[in-house]
Amino acid sequence: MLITADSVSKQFAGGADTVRALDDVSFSITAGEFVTVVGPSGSGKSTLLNLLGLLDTPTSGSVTLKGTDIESYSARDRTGVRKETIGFVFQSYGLIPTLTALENVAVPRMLEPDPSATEQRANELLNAVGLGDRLEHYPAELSGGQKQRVAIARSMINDPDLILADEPTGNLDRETGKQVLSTLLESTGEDVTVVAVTHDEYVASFSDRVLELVDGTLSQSESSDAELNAELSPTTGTAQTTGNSNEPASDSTTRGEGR
Amino acid sequence: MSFLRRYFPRTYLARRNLRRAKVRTALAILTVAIGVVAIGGLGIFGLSFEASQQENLGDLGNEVRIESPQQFFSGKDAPELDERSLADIREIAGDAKMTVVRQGETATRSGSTDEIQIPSRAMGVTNPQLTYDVVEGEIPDNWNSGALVDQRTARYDELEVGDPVTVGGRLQRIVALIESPEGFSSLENTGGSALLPIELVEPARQPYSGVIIYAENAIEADEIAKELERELNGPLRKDQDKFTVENKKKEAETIEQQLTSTNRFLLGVGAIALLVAGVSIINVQLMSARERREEIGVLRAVGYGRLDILAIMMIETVFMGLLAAIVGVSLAVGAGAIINDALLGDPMAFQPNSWRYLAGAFGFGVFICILAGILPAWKASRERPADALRS
Repeated sequence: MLITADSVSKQFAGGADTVRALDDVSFSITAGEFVTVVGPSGSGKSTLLNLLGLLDTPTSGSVTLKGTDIESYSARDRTGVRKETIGFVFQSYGLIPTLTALENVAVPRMLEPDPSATEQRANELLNAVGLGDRLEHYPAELSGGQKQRVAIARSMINDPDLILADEPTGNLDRETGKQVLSTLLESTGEDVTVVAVTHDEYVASFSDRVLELVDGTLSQSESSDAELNAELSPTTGTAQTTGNSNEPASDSTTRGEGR
Repeated sequence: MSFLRRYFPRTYLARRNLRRAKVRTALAILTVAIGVVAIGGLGIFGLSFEASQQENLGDLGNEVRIESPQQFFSGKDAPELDERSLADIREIAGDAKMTVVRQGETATRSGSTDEIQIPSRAMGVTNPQLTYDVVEGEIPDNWNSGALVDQRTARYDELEVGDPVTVGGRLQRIVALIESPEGFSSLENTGGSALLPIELVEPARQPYSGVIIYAENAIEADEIAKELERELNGPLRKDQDKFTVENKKKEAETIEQQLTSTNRFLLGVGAIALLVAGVSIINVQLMSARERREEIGVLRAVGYGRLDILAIMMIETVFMGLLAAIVGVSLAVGAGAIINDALLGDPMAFQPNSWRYLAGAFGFGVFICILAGILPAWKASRERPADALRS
């Protein structure tokens, strides 16, 4: 089990009243799975992603990453674990406008020793996402889809076990979104887990499993049962969709096939 | 890959950040540079002003004057400035040069009792070069005859160098015209007298009327004055008139103090300018941190620690400070050259302490920037990445 949430609640104190962003959420994600978290705006998706990304800690309950309760880490340790284990794809790309595409991909490892190796790896990743001819371009010179592909390349610079993607197609049209998702799935290895948060159910059609969040609780029967989830093999190619999508889930972009 | 990116990645990121809002960065640097110019330039101005003032005041502080009491007005057994007192004075003065003054009798024109002859009398002096400025003619090195007449007297009597004059009953040739001394009652005031070598003059009431000693500096002058006071006036009775012993140390000190406080005031103005510049740096960095909030959140998310963010932002302000200090000091040197030219007539006449003000201005400029950078950098580094990303 790569990451587990056990009875996780998260509350935010907002003036007079307390906002309960997540309410008693439990699930497990195994290594190599592609899980989407869907739900309307304000349903707690980003809060959940922050908890999985060690950017925040739960008010109650526990989040366990690779067998360690994230609350046992100090703030400094969490920064280290984030760097070593997790790759982030942000909704609005999160690229540094003053750095080139290549430098943006290298950013997470820029302070590490051996910058030449980092640059080499960044180069490979940009080639892998089809931007080999855009290495020295600044974000302002790239299209939305290209920027998101740079962001995907960046999320992989540290060879993470877990990639967290917040609305990876949020700013893209359907066709570009499809390309970006394909890129994400093609370029991540078999054992890399991807958790994507989206309110676009189309994204869900690509995934192995869908968690549906409504008002801070998991409503989907299949996701509320952690044990059932654990039995589902991510390598069977059986995509668990929410059933609303017309997109076939078993095309070449589905994990387990096409590679 | 650039040297900076390879070996100083935080500095590389900081430099990139400064380039982002070039105009804003340049303006912030300019405000600090102005502060640096203010401190450096005003410091140099103060020093040059002091130098020019001292040039104008001359050696005011190193004179000691000894005058015997005016016996004419005195009924109280006034002491005489006689050979013995003069010997004491010479001993105390040591190596210091001096002009000794002796007043002769007022002469009247032969055959008339009420018409005053011009020059009215002889005034005997030693070392006239020390006390009087020659405007025409020349005082011989070994001056044992020949008269010196001041310009005013010469003009009045239409006298020129080489003309014969009768002084103290003797016929003398005028060897030089001297500048009329300032002041009405000062010792060296000629007042219509002609100057002669002292041994040619018969004393009027007392052997000598006074001595002007030229010491090395104000401090030595002060020491000489104190000792003279003790030696000359010490043995006198309380009800006796005293010798006047005065030096201009107090005046010199007052002027010095005024110059020092002027200088401090100017530096204070400069420091305030630099403080204001510091506030503008705080403002710029706070704005910059706010604009970059999401970026900083991204960096924190992908594994940059708080110290990394702090370091990057501090390096930015150090960069600004260094650049501003270099620009400011260069401008201050330029301003200093203009000031020197105006006050001292030579652009390169930098006073020995000028570099201290420049170094101080440089250091203070960088220091203010670092100080100003702490708060914004601290705030940016303390923000939780989840909050920063939500923006």
